[in-house]
Amino acid sequence: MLIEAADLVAGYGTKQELHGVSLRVAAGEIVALIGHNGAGKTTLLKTLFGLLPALGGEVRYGGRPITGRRAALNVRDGLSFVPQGHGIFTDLTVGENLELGGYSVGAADPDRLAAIHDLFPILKERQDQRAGTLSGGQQQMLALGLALVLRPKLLLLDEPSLGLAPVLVQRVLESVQEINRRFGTAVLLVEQNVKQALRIAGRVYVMKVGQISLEDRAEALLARRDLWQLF
Amino acid sequence: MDYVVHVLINIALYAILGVSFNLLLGYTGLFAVSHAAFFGIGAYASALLALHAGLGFLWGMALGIVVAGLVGAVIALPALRVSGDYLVIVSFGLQIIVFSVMLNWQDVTRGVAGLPGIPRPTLLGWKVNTPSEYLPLFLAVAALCFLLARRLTRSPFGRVLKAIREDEVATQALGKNITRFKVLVFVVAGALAAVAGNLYAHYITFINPFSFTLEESIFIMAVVIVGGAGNLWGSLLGAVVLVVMPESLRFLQVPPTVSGAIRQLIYGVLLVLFMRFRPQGLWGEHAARPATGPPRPPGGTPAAPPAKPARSPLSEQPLLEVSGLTKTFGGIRALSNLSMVLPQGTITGLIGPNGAGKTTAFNVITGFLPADAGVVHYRGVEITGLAPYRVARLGIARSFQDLRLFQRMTVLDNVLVARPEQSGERLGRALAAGARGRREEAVNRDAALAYLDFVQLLPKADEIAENLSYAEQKLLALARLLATEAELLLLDEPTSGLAPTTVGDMLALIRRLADRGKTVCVIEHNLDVIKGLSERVVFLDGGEAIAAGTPETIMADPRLADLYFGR
Amino acid sequence: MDLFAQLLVNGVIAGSLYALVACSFGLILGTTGTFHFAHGVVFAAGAYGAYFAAGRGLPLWAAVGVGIAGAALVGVLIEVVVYRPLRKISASPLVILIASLGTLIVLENAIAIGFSTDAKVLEGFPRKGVIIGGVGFTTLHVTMVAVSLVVFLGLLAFLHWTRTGRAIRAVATSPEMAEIVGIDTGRVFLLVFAIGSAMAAPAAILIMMDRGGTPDMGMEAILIAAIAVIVGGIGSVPGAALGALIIGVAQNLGVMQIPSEWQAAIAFGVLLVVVILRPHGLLGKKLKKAEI
Repeated sequence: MLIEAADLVAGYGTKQELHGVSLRVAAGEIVALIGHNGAGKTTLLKTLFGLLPALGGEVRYGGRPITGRRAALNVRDGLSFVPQGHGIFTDLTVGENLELGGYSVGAADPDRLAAIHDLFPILKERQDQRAGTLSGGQQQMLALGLALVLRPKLLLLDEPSLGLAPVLVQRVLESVQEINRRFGTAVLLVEQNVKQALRIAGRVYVMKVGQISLEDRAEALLARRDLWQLF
Repeated sequence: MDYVVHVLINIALYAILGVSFNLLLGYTGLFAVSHAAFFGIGAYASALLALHAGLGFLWGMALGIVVAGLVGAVIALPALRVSGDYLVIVSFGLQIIVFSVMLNWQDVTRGVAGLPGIPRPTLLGWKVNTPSEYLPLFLAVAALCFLLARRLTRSPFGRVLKAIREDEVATQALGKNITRFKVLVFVVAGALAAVAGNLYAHYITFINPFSFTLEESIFIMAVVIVGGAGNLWGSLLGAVVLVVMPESLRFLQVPPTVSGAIRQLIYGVLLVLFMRFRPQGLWGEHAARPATGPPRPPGGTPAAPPAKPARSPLSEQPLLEVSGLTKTFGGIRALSNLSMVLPQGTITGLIGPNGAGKTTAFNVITGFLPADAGVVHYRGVEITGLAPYRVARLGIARSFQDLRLFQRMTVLDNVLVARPEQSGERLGRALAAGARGRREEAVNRDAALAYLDFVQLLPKADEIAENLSYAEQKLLALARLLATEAELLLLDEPTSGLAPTTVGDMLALIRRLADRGKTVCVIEHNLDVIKGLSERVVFLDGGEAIAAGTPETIMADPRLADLYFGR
Repeated sequence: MDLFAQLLVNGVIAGSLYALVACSFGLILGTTGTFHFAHGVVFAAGAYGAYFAAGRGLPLWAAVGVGIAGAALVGVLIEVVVYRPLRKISASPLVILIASLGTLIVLENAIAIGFSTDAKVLEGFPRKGVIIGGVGFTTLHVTMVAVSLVVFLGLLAFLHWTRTGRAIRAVATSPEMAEIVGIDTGRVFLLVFAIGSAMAAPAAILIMMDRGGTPDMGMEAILIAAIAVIVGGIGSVPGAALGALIIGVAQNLGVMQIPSEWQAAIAFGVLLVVVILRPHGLLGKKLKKAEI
């Protein structure tokens, strides 16, 4: 198992948002994480990544416990997190953003940069443009590119399609699939566009009120007609 | 002996200044470091009056109060536009401008030379001459100022001040005109500082601008911080500590050239240490919690909101009607021609994908955001564009996703402050509260306790809100909302963040509200909650209400499923 | 016309010194979110450090070096001893601001006790008067403008063209994203305090060479700097420089209309106008409508 959480409890201050969550992601798979707003999906990603302390339970990465380890160390170890909204540095240029993706190991590897440029040619074209002036879709590609600079083993994606027009939603999710295919990166994907997410995922977890309420094959869930019942 | 008297007089002086500044900083959370300016205005006003018009002590005091009060109102204006760090800088600026005027308006203030020969006061034929004669006068006025401030801070007016300190937005949502409160507290604090200025001028008999510098303002701030912000007794203690401590230097044979610097150094060190180790000060706000004893259950009050019969249902007219509401943020349409109705006595669920505009709709309805287009009618009357506090007073109360409780107030005070139409919120009434005010307060207290009982928080009534668990905080937010007696309740995610086991309790409470005639609109993402609560659901997408109906019909519509789950 | 030109030049000279303090204060505020009032006394410490070293017989250039290094050290110490512990206990911005004021008062008075409150002049700079086109100034004034320009451009180059500079801008833009890519924000904060403090010192040293310095020279400097940063827009280094120039020029040109004693009030006049008309400053990003 690449990453494994057991009975995770976490939250902000007195507000507990995860009430004992267990899940696992294997190397190379895409796993969707869906559920209503406030169900605790973002909190789960942040706790896995080390941005929020776990109040209980355990996270294991590559078999070793990493509960409570600083995010900076997890990054170096092959974990990447793209937060909701702006996963980029809006005041810096596109090129600088990508450079910063490699910050924790010194500098971005030129070969890997080239691979990212190959995947998203627009990032090369717009090299010197301030990232905040890119369109929403381009910003999201930059966020993905930035997270890929260190060629992570696992990508934690928090609603990459948030605020994008329907056409772009499809494009971004295709990119996620492409990343998975090209680099073998495992993905834990939080997504509001449930059906699109299910189409690219192998497995799915459904969260409700801070707990996992269902685990299934994505295909099986996609076939259900009563999705409302799950939310 | 004279030395001891001098020290005591200084303590009384800084006690007045500390108490009045505490009203701004400690109670209202207004960090305006310009108190020496008010102090100076009071001193100059009475000195000029005494020197040129031969008018006595009390006249000087009256004029000083009026002028400083007016300046207080003027200073309040920029202070209302900015907050936090900006307010500090702006207040520094006003302090320095007032100082510049004292220094440079030669014709009147004589600049650096100052105003000598200010007469000692004469009161009712009694001429005060020596410092020991002056001391009782100082102490009496200081006591009077303290009692005045104490009366104010314990009144409903003072309760609103604390609420403003804790959360301005929530205070507005409870129907309070926070601008009025802020201006008034600046006026009162300025006037009290002017009283200190008047006493000082007649005591020292000579004033010049250097007694009213920025450093002096910071010193007054230190009195409040070290003593304990939000507690008037703390300011008395702060005055004692900060006046007496540097005096000990006199006995250490410190050369006079550096004693001033050492005095300042000491209070600077105190400021830093207190911020690090005891930010609440020596005698902080909650050290002085009134010993009210365990909360007594309200005698004979029903353990539920007083069932106010719903006003005669206006058969066809919905309680709230929104039509064509549009709101754009930097090119993004948050609301686009939103139209919907909330029929009286129903629970309506508001659902839709992320960014559908649900919370924005609440914000526009309650006046927190101006609409670009469209109108809102409440009981058939247009309320579009009214200030939030006016909307709230009409009977529309809203909750917030992040609760916005008054964290450092007691649970009971959180609910009490929400009570509508409290006469003690008027400055005059707060200062001259009589039996009527006490009776009104007792009635409000009983009502507040009844609401706490309704949400089962009665045992926690005297607890500080921030010490509650998250679930309890959510219940408190509901009790506060109900205490406004609003008829329309807009609830933004009432169950989010609750443990699965407590969600049901919250739902039961909300259902009971509707049973009692309240009209409720709930934003909720957990569809179990929606199914369990609402007879009616409005589906928002892209800032537009695209469907309305029972939860079953909404969830049976494949088109809506596509919007909610993607295709 | 000559008077106007002279006052304009005076304004630019004053403004360029303000700019050093404002840019460094703005850099610290923009990156660490600390309203660092004590920066005023760090500024003064630079001047007194140089004065002290010169008094011990060091050549002027070495004394200047001691002053700059001393300021950097004081700035870093304040971050480590005062701010960092407060951030660790999640103290409110107000608490940090009060602690900063306290630190300012402590160190200012420590300098007063050590050096007395009399004005001190740092001697030894070869100063000559120059008159060009009816406008008079000295070689020291030229040095002031040149030093400010070099330091300002140097800061911009550092922020944009080095890996460390990028990390600083990354933290300023989004502390959360900085943490996500593995930037150690604590170290960046230290660095910013060191750089900002070292940057402010030359302005103080030059003032001490020109008209002398007093222990409370930092109070006025930091007020002007804070105003300049708000006028220019929080988070923008060029904005801070622009704000400083505007204030320097406004104060000096103001003399044509208003008696010069009112200079201090002019700076705040500019501030009030900007706060009322353009609360996010001249070059600052429009503040997002607070989420309710």
